[in-house]
Amino acid sequence: MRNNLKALRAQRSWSQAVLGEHLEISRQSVNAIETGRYCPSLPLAFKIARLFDSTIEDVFSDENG
Amino acid sequence: MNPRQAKKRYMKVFIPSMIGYLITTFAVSLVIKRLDLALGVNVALAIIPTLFVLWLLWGHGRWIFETDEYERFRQIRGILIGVGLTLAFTTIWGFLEMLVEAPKFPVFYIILIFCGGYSFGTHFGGLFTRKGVVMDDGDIV
Repeated sequence: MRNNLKALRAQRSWSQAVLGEHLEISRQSVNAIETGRYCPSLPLAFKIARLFDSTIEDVFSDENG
Repeated sequence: MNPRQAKKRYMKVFIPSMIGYLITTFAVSLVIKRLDLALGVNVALAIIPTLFVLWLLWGHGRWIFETDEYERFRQIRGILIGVGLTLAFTTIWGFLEMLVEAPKFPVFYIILIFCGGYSFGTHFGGLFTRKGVVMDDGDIV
């Protein structure tokens, strides 16, 4: 899975820790998602998308997408 | 509950349970060795330190459920690797004990093997899953 979480976070000048607080996850978890080491669950993906007023497809795309 | 709150709750179990375990282990060992007590009393005393371990295991399990999903994924991967290594060791050693009369391995130390494997799996499990040794990236969901 690819994602543009880092870019979205940068637009708001948020650190990984701040984004983690908004999502109620740790900074390490934000880092793992951003770097593609971990694919979030569907509920967390929805939470991320809603936080950035986007859809899941705007934030995440599969390798072929 | 966010991961920080979950960790705080866990530490409220971890610290007292570890202190209790250490104190009761030394105290019970001393009492059993120095005093000539009835078997039933010794059995009851020997079980006391394990109650602190059970308390710790409960707190650890609660933390795994309460922390965030990535940490839970790491912990469960670590547990799987820890269980795998423990089963591998006990199976091999069991066969050695049965067939070539290897010395008896104390059951007490099995949890240490598990903890070592669990810790290794939590910190280095990603090396196996990311590089496609166990599964491809796409399978880690």
